Amino acid sequence: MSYIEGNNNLDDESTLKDRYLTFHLADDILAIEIRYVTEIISMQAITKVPKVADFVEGVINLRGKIIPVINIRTKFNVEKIDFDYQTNIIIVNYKDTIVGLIIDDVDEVLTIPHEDISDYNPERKTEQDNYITGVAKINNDVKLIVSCKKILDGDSKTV
Amino acid sequence: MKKVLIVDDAAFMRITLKTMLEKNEFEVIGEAPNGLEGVKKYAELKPDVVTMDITMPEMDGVASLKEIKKIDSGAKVVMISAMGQESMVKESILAGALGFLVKPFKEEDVVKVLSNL
Amino acid sequence: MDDFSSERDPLLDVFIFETNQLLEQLEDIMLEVEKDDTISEEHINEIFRIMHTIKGSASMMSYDSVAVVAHKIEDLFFKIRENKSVGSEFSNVCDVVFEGGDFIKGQMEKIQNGEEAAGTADSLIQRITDLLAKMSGTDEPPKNEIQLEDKPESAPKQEDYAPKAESGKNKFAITIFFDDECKMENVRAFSVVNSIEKYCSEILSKPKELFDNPTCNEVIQKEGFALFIATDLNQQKVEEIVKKQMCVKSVEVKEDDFTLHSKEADNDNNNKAKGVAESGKANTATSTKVASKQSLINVNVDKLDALMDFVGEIVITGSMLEHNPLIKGIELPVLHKNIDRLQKLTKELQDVVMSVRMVPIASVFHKMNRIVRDMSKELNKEVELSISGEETEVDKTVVDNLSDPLMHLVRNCMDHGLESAEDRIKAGKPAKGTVSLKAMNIGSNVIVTVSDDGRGLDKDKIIKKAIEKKLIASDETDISDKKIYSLILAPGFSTKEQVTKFSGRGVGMDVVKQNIESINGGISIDSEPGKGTITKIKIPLTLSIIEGMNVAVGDLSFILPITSIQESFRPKAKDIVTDPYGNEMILIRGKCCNVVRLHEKYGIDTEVKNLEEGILITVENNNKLVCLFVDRIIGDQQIVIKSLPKYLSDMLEEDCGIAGCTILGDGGIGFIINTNEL
Repeated sequence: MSYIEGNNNLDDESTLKDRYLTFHLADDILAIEIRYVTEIISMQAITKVPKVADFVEGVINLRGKIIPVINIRTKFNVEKIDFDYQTNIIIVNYKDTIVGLIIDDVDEVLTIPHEDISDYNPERKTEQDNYITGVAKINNDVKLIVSCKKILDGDSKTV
Repeated sequence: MKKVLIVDDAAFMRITLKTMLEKNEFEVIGEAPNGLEGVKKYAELKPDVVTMDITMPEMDGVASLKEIKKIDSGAKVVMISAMGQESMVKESILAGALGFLVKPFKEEDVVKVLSNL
Repeated sequence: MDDFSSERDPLLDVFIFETNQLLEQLEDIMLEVEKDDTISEEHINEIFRIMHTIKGSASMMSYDSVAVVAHKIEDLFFKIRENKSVGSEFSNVCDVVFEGGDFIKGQMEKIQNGEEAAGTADSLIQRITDLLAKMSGTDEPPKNEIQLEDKPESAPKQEDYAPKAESGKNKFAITIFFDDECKMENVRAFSVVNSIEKYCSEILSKPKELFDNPTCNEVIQKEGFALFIATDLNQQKVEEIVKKQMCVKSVEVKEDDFTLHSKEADNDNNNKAKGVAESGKANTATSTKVASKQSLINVNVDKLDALMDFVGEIVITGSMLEHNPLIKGIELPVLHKNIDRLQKLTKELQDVVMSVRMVPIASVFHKMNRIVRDMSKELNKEVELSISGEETEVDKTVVDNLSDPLMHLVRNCMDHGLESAEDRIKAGKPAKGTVSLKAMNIGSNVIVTVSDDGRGLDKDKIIKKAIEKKLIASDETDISDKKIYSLILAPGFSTKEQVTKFSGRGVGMDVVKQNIESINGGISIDSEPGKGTITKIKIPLTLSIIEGMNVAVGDLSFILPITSIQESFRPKAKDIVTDPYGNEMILIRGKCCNVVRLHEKYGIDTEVKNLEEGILITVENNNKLVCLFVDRIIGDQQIVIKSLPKYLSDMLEEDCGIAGCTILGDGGIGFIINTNEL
């Protein structure tokens, strides 16, 4: 397990602004605002939950707390792969909703200044476009900015 | 810091006095819910000052004051009284209480009185 | 309840708590007094002390409306103590005390809800004033100040100044002003005299009389306190001594030859009549029956909740340690020994923490005394409240949630259950009706029963009403008595023709049921026409830790609360019945019971599809019985209930029945099923 230092500290929000955690999902590199990320853990036992949406893989026991985990591949309608020991789960806390996001693996933490983010206008619309709010090009790499809010929103009956 | 023993059967009065005193450089080293306990605690803790309620079960303030004075003739005791208890306050003064406060009183009253002792 | 408690002044919390406690004691005393038809000396002293304390605290918090009422009742009881009896005013005195207590209680509630404690009890105060006048044997308004004199002598009091010095070369006139609002100026003045008289050979004062002198304080406030002394001390020393007294605002010491005045004063001073009051006798009464002065601390319930949570976590962590396969495999006796020890200690800790939250149900039961008394008067029915098992302990939250339901049930007994004295006698019953409250511990539950010896429930009336309200089909002929009585618990049900002041609006019983269910309890009613009705409430001992049966369905674990399980068994093929619609049912002792396949309901993969290969568990489902089909039973264990993350509970259907989750001994996660929600 690894922890990201200092990001639980809301006072540091000013220093967390423009900081993103990037991770791999299939062929893309996605970036999520680090201020919502509380920790990154390796794959662990997931207990299925009956009768929930298909992208919810189940729940995990995180040091005594029961946390739901979502398979991002499923949510983004990307081909599912098997989990292995390298698969990471990003634990996010968005407005007191704590959820784990299963992604391929984590890349790095970097600063993406606001000016460097442009609108996302893909030629072909796919499912994941619902969650992408922008795109940034850094050193010839394209990073897709995803919105934590959009990933978690609208899943429940109550917004 | 003056060390204070609070003797009062009402938990509310004890905590009120304690709050007032601790805001003002007094150290509350003990509390007692009646006169009998008050005497015991006095002997045990040897405070600088005692605040003594008058109406209490088991042993009232005046009796307790007298017992404490037997243990320590120089004991500094301030009575806490309510309106209408004149005779008992008078008796306390005769028994050696250094003064008295009448409920309701304000923080500054308590502080002024205890500081001057 | 209120949201303000964490922000509220902690002093206010203590004030409210203590005052409410005192009011409860007061009520207990008054009920006893009414029962005995007399007020004993102990009671008088106790009531006096309670009002005195409330007066003091209320005045400190500036809740004058409360302080005034308390003061008035204190005055009244001082008078009663003086007279040593209430004379002919017994019932009037009782009434004003009850009313006074109610008024203060009402103010406390307002304060607790963050409202202003506005309002006065003017008419009550006037009544007490009149009562006091009657007891004083005069029509004049009583004195403002209470003197604790027991001596009957009414000789005019003179101050017993005792000048002790042998000589007094210097003569001074001292004028002292005390701090504004320092109160009891006469006693302050006395204090000054007391401090200086040992140095004086002569001492006179103006005003002459400090005690028993109604205008004294005013005079001292306006004109100051004047002392004339003859002493060997010098002016500076005199000033010093006076200044050392409390609340002295200003002192003026002048040389003054006052022999002229002394001649008049002499006569007064020679009068040795002392007015020393008897001390302390007033306050030694402790009524052992009545006032429970144990050594207690009051603890904020939030802290206890937090404590319970932590202990729950420790229980889980310990379990994880104990059951972790990797750790189990380690061949290290000292490790396992210590893990065992840790688990034992944790269990003991858990027991202690749970017991900290336990309070005797007595407090709730005793509240009913007042209700019975009030209703008895209103309805004109003589009723006796019989209580047993009050020492039975329940979790604090349970006690809080039981109060309203019990009140409603008791009211129902008195209003609907018990007949009038006339009818009772006609029926061969004693004129006095009985309402009984019982509590007992059975296993990990507490059973509370409320019963009366009244007319019982009218089955036909209930059935008729139920059909009217479409709660049952009109052709349902074979309904058990138990089912009939339970119809009363349905929303909107009420057979009482007129809505009375106390009950019968049809919102009662179903709200009672809801309240009980909110503490994971259950309620059932039984009755015998002509004999009476008994309502039984079953509540688990604690809210967040329950005993559950862990069952497996496929890879998943489900927990069924033990309280909802009737039985479990492996079904035989011959008992399995399928109806034309494909619904499976099982025959249990001749009766049919619906089968719910959990693996189907929850879409779980499992090998166990044949009913005969799995286990059927009969559970309560809203007063019906239903059989849940599971793979196998894993075992029963203590479960710490955790709520399902909202993110998930929002996704689930309402009738899925998953009410919570828990962490199992091996670190896995189990889902708790609420069988009533299936």
